[in-house]
Amino acid sequence: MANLILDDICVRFGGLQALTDVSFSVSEGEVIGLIGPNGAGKTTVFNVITGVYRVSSGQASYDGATITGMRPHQILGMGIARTFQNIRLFQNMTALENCMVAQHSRSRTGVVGAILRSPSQRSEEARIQEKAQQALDFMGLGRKADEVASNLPYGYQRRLEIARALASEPRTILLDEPAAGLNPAESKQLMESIGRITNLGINVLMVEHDMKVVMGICNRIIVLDHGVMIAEGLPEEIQRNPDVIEAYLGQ
Amino acid sequence: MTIRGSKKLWTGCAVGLVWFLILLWPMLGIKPEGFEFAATFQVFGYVAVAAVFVLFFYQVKEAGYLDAAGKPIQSAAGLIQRAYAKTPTWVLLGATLAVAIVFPLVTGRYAHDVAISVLIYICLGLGLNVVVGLAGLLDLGYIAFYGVGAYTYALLSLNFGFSFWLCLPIAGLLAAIAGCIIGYPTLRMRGDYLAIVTLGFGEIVRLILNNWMALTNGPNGILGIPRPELFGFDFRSLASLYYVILAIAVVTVLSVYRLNYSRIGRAWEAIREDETAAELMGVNTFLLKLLAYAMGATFAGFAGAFFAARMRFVGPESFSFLESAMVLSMVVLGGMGSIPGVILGVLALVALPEVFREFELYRMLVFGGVMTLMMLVRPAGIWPAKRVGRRSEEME
Repeated sequence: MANLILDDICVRFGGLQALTDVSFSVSEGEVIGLIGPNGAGKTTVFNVITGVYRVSSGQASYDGATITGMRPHQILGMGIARTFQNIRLFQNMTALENCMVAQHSRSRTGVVGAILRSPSQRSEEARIQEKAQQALDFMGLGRKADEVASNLPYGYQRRLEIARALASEPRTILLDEPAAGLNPAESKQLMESIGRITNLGINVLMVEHDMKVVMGICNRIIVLDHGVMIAEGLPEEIQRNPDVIEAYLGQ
Repeated sequence: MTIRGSKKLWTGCAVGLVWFLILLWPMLGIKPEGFEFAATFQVFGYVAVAAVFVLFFYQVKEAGYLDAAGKPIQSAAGLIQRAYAKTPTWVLLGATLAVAIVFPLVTGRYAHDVAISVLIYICLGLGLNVVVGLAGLLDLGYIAFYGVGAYTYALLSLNFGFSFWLCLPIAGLLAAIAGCIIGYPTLRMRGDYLAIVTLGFGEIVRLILNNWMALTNGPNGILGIPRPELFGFDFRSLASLYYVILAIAVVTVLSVYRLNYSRIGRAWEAIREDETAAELMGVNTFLLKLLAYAMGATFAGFAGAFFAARMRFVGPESFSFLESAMVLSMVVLGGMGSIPGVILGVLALVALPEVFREFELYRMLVFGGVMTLMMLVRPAGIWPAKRVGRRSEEME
């Protein structure tokens, strides 16, 4: 069953056509790579799915429910979490707190409960902390829990972004260039982490420029160029596709 | 200390003194009758001698000549610090509370009066701290909510005979509603624009209080507001009023502390750090920003109701922009987002000026100087918010 479906999505910014008729679907357990030259509209696709941008036409749905027009926090509540191309952690909060924020939509306590510290608030707080710690442990950051995010080295910050997304208990995770700026050893570790994420039953949609990573772990690849999907298929097919080669290398 | 480093310091000192002279002379030397130099150079002489002496002392200390004298002081400071770290938090809090409870029994009227203002400003500072320190929304019209609380009690008690204890929650509620009204249109704004709009709203509230003659009696204010009363006990003395505001302040501290360490406080901090990322991580930024305004306003509303009961008079001039700026200074000086910091900030800006009343003339000069200096050497405040360790853990 298809989980996330994009149907003829068009996005226009004034006179600029950022996306034209983009349609694809992400099914359960898949790892899909979204590639294309700079400015092709890959991050725009992410922003459409997560509700940051409004679509000009077309619609996106998740598990049968329309998500176009929803606010970003509602979409996260549906189970779609994302990371950012240029790291956007909560810089002055600890790693654990970063992950605990992601549990916000999975918890309910209101102002009164928080001030009175009701038993349900305490147990919920303990659960939030446990889930956050689990997410950190999963990404190998368990021992950095109390470190302030801005003090972490770059590679750890990248991993913390993924941990934070995982802490929201998503079923689909969108990774925006997770390997950017990582050294070969770190990218290998990242690929292994993504493999473990899919083992949890979470589908992955990723934008990535590092072809080694993309070809290594994606089941299916979608190629965008100037906001138009020019190819979709298995990694081997994509590597041979003349349109793709032309888009990347020019004629 | 090497000669080079020393030379740099002396140059810095000389430049500073010349700069001071340039500032000082126009103030003391330019008179309607003409220029005058004697007075300027007399003051300048004192300052220069003091500066040279301090610098000399500093260099002697740096060179290590004073180590013998400094050692015992240092070890004593270390001892106090270690003792502080070892004492459980509840002991410290208990001791603070005990001092606060005993305070009016051993002091006079004047001290009670100052202590009451300190506690009122603690409530205000902590409320503003929610908006500015936690949610990161710069609010320059905060005092408006204080005014709403004060007028709520004044009008309800005089016109309908409502008791103080009934009016307290109503004042909080009305202030919260005012907070939402002000918060709603500003939700899309960030930074400077937000500051300007809140500044405007603060002025609007003051002008309404000033001009709505039928309801607020305009600039004349409202007189003869009744004192709080509880089961026949009249809170007549300042000491008994002190306990009322102490209770309100304790509730405020506890509420702000608990909110801070809950999912709501975390969401506020996430909004402060990166609003877009917070929204994408599942925080309903719209609702939570509104909630920050409402909560901050509630505490100001409580403080306002008490203020009206304590002064037995309210007038629009108590809710001017200068008051907003003062409360904001207390929060920034103490350390944004830090509860002990805000309390220290209030003490520094309300209690210390009272202690130094003899230097009345120079108070504002010193105030300005201290603020400038603090922002230069400790921009995070006197007691910056703690950012290490598990903040979610119980610390009571």
